[in-house]
Amino acid sequence: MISEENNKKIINYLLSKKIPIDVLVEVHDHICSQIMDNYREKNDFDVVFDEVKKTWEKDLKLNKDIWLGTEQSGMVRRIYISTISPVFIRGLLFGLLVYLCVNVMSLFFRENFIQYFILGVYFCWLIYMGIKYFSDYKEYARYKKKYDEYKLSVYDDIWIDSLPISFSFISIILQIGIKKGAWFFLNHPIESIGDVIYRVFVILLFILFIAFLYTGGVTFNKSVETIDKIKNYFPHLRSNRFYK
Amino acid sequence: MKNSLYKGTLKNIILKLLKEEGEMYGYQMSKKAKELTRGDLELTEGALYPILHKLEREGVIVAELRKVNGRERKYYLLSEQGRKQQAKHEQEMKIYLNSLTLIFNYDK
Repeated sequence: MISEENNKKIINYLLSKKIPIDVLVEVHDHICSQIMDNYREKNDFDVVFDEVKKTWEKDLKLNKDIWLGTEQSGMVRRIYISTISPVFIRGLLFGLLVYLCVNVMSLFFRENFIQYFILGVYFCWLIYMGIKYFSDYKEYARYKKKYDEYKLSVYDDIWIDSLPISFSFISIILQIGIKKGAWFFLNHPIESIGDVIYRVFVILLFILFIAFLYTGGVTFNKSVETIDKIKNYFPHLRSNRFYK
Repeated sequence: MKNSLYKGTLKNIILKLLKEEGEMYGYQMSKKAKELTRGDLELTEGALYPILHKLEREGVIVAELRKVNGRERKYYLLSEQGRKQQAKHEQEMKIYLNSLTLIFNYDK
């Protein structure tokens, strides 16, 4: 068995590698199993732990992420890509579907109505997220605030980032897109190459806007679901000193 | 042998191990793969966990947390969808391996 003191050393090592807590749970078990296997031969925790750290060195080496501006290890980056990208791709497909539906709507309703409809959907989404955050997910909100220097799960913070991104997209779309009917293909004929480029640009923005909303919603729910699985690790985390 | 040669088949290796063992945790998988290949395949953690998370996200495998030796351990199992996918992939892998054997046994 690994003593409490040595266990703390392992967890502190993993926390220093900025691993989200839900990933840390299984990496911690992996390292403990490795140590226990090798400990039988060498009988010195520190020697064995150093050897195990060497096997993880390459995967847990922190590098600056140029997109996010934060430090991240190669393994965590690969986990992010493998878990978030399928959600985002599904969001893009959903965005395409919504775009097609809105285009069909443009045949039956005035463009002003559709503009308000999209704005309405967006604000309903914001209100839904707010209500969920402050009512059903109070517990998550509490932990998120208390352990604000950590990423509690792989999905953490992605939904927070999706809010300003989707807001900036909808601002652009509403300012340049709808007024000129630029993204309605069905009832606005294309007149020039420039017109095509302009419309493709606005349509891409619209699809991205929906994809970010979708990704935000899915990752938010996933973040909340993860809390129960990682609760046992909270005593090892440093809580926010302003948190009561 | 170079681990890069195994790269495209890691998913199939994980699914096959889960089919045979029923349920496994990360360290157990890397140990078993090494043991079965007599030390030839080092299933590195940096490759293993991203694939496990991807398969879990896709619903091919399901994870269960259990307390073992006072710590949490994440066990992975094949889902119904995973079982079907594994059977299909195993068949494809066998054909692929057979073709490779035919080519590399070719001696003019």
